[in-house]
Amino acid sequence: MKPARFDYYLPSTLEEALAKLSELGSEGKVLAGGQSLVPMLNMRIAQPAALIDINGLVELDAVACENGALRVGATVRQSTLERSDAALGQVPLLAQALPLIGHWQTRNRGTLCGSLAHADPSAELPLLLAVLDGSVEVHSSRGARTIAARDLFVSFFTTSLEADELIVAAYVPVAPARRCYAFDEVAQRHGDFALVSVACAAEFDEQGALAYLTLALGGASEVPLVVETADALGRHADRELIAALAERASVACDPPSDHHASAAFRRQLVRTLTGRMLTALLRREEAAAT
Amino acid sequence: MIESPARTRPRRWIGEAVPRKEDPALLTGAGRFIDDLDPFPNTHHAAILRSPHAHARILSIDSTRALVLEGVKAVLTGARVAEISQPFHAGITEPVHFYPIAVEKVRYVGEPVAVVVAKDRYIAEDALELIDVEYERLEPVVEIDRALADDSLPLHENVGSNVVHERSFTYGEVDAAFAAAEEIVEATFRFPKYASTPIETYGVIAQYQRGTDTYAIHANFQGPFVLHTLLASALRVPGNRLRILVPPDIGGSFGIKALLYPYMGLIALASKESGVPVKWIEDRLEHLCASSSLTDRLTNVQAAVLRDGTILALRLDHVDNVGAYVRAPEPACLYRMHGTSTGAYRIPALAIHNRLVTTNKLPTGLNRGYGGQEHYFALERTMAIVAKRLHLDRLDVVRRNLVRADEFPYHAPAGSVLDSGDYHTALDEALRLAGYQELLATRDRARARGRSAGIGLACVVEPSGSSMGYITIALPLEQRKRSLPKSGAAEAVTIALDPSGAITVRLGTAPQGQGHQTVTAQIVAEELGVALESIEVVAEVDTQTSPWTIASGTYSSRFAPIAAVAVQQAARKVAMKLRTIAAQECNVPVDDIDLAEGLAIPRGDRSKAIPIKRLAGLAHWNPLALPSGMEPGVYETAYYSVPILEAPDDQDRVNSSAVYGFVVDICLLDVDRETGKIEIQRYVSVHDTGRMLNPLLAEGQIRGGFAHGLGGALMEEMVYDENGALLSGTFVDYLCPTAAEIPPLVIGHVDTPSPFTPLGAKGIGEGNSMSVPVTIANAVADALGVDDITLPLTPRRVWELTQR
Amino acid sequence: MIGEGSIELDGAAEHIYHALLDPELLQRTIPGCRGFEDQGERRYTALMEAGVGPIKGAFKAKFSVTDVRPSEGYTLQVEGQGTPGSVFGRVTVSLASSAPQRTQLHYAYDVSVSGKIAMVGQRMLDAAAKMVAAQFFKRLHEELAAR
Repeated sequence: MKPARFDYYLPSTLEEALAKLSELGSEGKVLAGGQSLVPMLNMRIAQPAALIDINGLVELDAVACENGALRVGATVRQSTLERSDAALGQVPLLAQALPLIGHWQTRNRGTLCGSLAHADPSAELPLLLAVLDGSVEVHSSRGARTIAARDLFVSFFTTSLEADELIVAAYVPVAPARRCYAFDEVAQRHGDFALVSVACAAEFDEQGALAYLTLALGGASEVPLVVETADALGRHADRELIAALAERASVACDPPSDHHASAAFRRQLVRTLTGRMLTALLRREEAAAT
Repeated sequence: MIESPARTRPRRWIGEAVPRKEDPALLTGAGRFIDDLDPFPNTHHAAILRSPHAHARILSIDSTRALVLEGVKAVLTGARVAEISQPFHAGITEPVHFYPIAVEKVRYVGEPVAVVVAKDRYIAEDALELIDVEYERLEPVVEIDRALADDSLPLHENVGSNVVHERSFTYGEVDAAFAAAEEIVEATFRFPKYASTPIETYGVIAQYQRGTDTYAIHANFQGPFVLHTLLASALRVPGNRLRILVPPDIGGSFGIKALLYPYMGLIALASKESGVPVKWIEDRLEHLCASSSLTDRLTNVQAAVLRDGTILALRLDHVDNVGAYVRAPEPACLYRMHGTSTGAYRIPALAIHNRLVTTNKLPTGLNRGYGGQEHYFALERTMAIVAKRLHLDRLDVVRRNLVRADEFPYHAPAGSVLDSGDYHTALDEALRLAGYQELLATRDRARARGRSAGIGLACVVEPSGSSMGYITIALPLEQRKRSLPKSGAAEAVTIALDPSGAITVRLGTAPQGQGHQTVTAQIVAEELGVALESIEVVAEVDTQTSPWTIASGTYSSRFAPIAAVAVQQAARKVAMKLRTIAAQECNVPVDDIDLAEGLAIPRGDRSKAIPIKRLAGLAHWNPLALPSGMEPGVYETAYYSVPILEAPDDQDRVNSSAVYGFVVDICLLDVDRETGKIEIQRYVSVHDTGRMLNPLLAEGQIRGGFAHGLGGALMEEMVYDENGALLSGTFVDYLCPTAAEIPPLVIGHVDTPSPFTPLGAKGIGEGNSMSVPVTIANAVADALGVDDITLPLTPRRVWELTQR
Repeated sequence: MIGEGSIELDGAAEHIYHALLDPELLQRTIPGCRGFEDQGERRYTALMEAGVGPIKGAFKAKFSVTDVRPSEGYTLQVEGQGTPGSVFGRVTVSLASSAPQRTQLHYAYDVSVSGKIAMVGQRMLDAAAKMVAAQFFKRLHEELAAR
């Protein structure tokens, strides 16, 4: 378990990093927290010609609140967010999702942006970005652009980033006042890749009808999947609607089969988690109303 | 009556909760493990090319490109290994040739195909990618059922079948019992293949010395040292030219490092071929595909029972899958529990049919619980099924059949002599700790709420201190008679006092974290009446200088029943010598000298006490002053073997273990039918550990065994697809429980010291590995109302059970 | 890994069938394929680079076309061996006319891997197989459209 030979670059400015990335193209791989990349290097299933280590770029190690979103720089550790009351207050879903990611040792090193760039459909953070409709700020020597979550994830481990592009920050929208959230998953052990995960953001109006609903699934398709729920808006989230949404989620996804879980079982988990999650949100809402 | 003068008693240490002597070094990063050692100059590093195929013929191996890579010293392949070494011997008659590397054919994914020796591990791994191997794929034989089929392609052509061993045994009047039975309960069970996953993987540093034709092999090998003999003959040297050195610390083993020996041979041969010392540290990928595991087993049980639950007889049909080769000490997997096949029950008649099959999977070997989890899975599931079929209370069936306290020592039909126990009291204690009535009520309340709750129970006899003879019953009597009988289970310990009286104990046990140094110090401190801290215990083994026997090592929980006694016996020899010298100095009879507080104290006259330090000094500096006939110095070795471990008799009965503990487990769990997740609500385990040597260590052993058993019950499995490809090659896919998955465990004790050993202690580290898988299976069967339970009970499998 | 899919292509079944037997076209449509060589009797060798995201492996691959059913389909067998392990499997292609000059191509694959990729890549194999199959038929569609 020793990696194949690679060149290692430690740029000290963003421009330098982007120039190197542009020079190397797909031969270069960005190293942020390394919690997915380094094991792949050690197992030699990834053999990039060069690594561009962005940990020297101090300007990327910042969390800020800008234009109604939490801006998380590319080298901000997951544990930094986990320990930031401000961040957790602005994006309450982080408090539910972060503890499910690996172990605290891996979160001490792993980054939010790195997880997004890695685009593992079972990972918690891509799902979080998808359900919150966040985006990433992407730079290259050619310029900068913003990519919305729905356009970022293309397939398993594949994003719409060009080879010369670097995610410099992620934008996670700050929670509106009445919005409530849930994040749940079934994993065989604490910290494992989830068999499936479900996240949702919802808002009920004064009459208790659904005013907002985003439902997204992790590990159930090749990308974090946002389930179509527009027709549920304005309706009361009764048992029937919840069952219908749970059923729809289980049909909408295209889960993989492996020895841990068949596709049929993953669909079943999606159905169960979705149903339970919406029921719990509803109960919470009802409890708050009385 | 004459009042005897006051004696000075030494402080009691045995049984005290002494914290581990080993811990300060380990917790401060100062342990010395195999990878920390650098014993030879110019050591090179090995990397191993492994088979991607389950079953294939090797058409060619071209190492040309690898050999020209700068830094590469040599490439060793199977053809060369077959020229310069012998296959390893195993205890069956069929000619299954086993070399430490594939010769002509590969038979499992991960089997070594070539060894590269290079300047460092990076270069060695680079070179692996430059070796071109051409294979012709062959039909894989993956599952037991396929291996049993007449038309499956034999892995070993010279054997001609994948059934490589078969024997039948009958004890008592089995047919009569079945004729008299009111019911016959029959069930078939499958037990999965899983392993031990110590934090430290295998490691070997080997040097071949051309001038003397000798091998020195440093390895984190746990014994048994009978494998030294095996390895020497494979390397074609007499035993005195093979020196095995075990480092001071081993980072866990749980049985799996016994099967390090093929790699010790392979790396030794790589040193011979390359002309340099060679180091190989196994990585986790290698460990999960090519170290060792327990056997997967197919068991059919027929129980002849009366309607009141009395079991008259059992017929057991076992098929054990040893994977691609039969590696010594296999077929011990089938025979470790043989004498104890009737478990904790007084079942007078027993028939056993044993078969061993080869398949294209990782070969097997020792693992915590070795043979026990497979055996009790079938036996204790059967007990639960018997109660269910007869509509009897499970506890009534168990109580009716358990060996009674007044029957010990109990001679089980297949030969085990259960030394001591009080099984009924242990069961009652478990019920008390579990709050059994409340447990039943909780289960029923949960069920009333629509939850699937279940209670599981298992009673397990935990053998410890394996006999060296039990494996020989794999051979038919006439064959057994052709060689010397094998019995016993000896261990050796040396205690030396230097001229300053400093005490060094040398063990041959190669501990892997069990705390042998601590217990050894406790025993010696108590026997010699000296301070605990003053005792140095050397755990590193060197076959050239350490005392050892063929049975030496740590496996089958043998420290407590055997090695600890050897420590005690060696300490008593030293004590006798010191007291004899003191008796002469004080001019009193030896019996009147007590050792305590670091002194030899004449009874009733403390003023004449002599420091032990002075007595040791005298033995070194002034031999002429010693009692006549006494040898100078203080250096005593004791060999101890348990007398009750006789060779198998002509009726194929064998007492396979020195002593027998007992475990009762009770568990309440909840099954989430929608997600397949199991939540353990309460788990109680009551043990009979004989005389407890150290409660802290005993608890650690129980908790460790529990975690391992839980892994087997819920998540651990080596998964192969229908082509024999291994699918569980990393810790992402081979799941071991972590602290977050382990529920609280309530531990209880009903200890009955063994009458057969001076210390009376029993091993305790394997019981829960044997009991937990079946306890949880019984609870899930109870929760879901199904009988056909297969482990591990992963969410997927549990959900599938609910879909029936 | 087993999977299936279908794609509707322009052209008559017979035309598609012949295109699918064209080594030139196979070379261009098999993802990551280099050094394609026709060994005769519908057997081919090539170097194949396959992967998902940063995970890549190079294989020496042997292809053979069997079970030929003119204008109806065939089976493409593949066997690859490389440092990450081995891949072997088959894709069965069936053609059916869906409209004049339109053909419905149905494919079913059954792919197995062994060695290191099977050991470490469990989580991604299903997705990888799906991706490679989808890429192949997407390219086929493009190639046919370009003709």
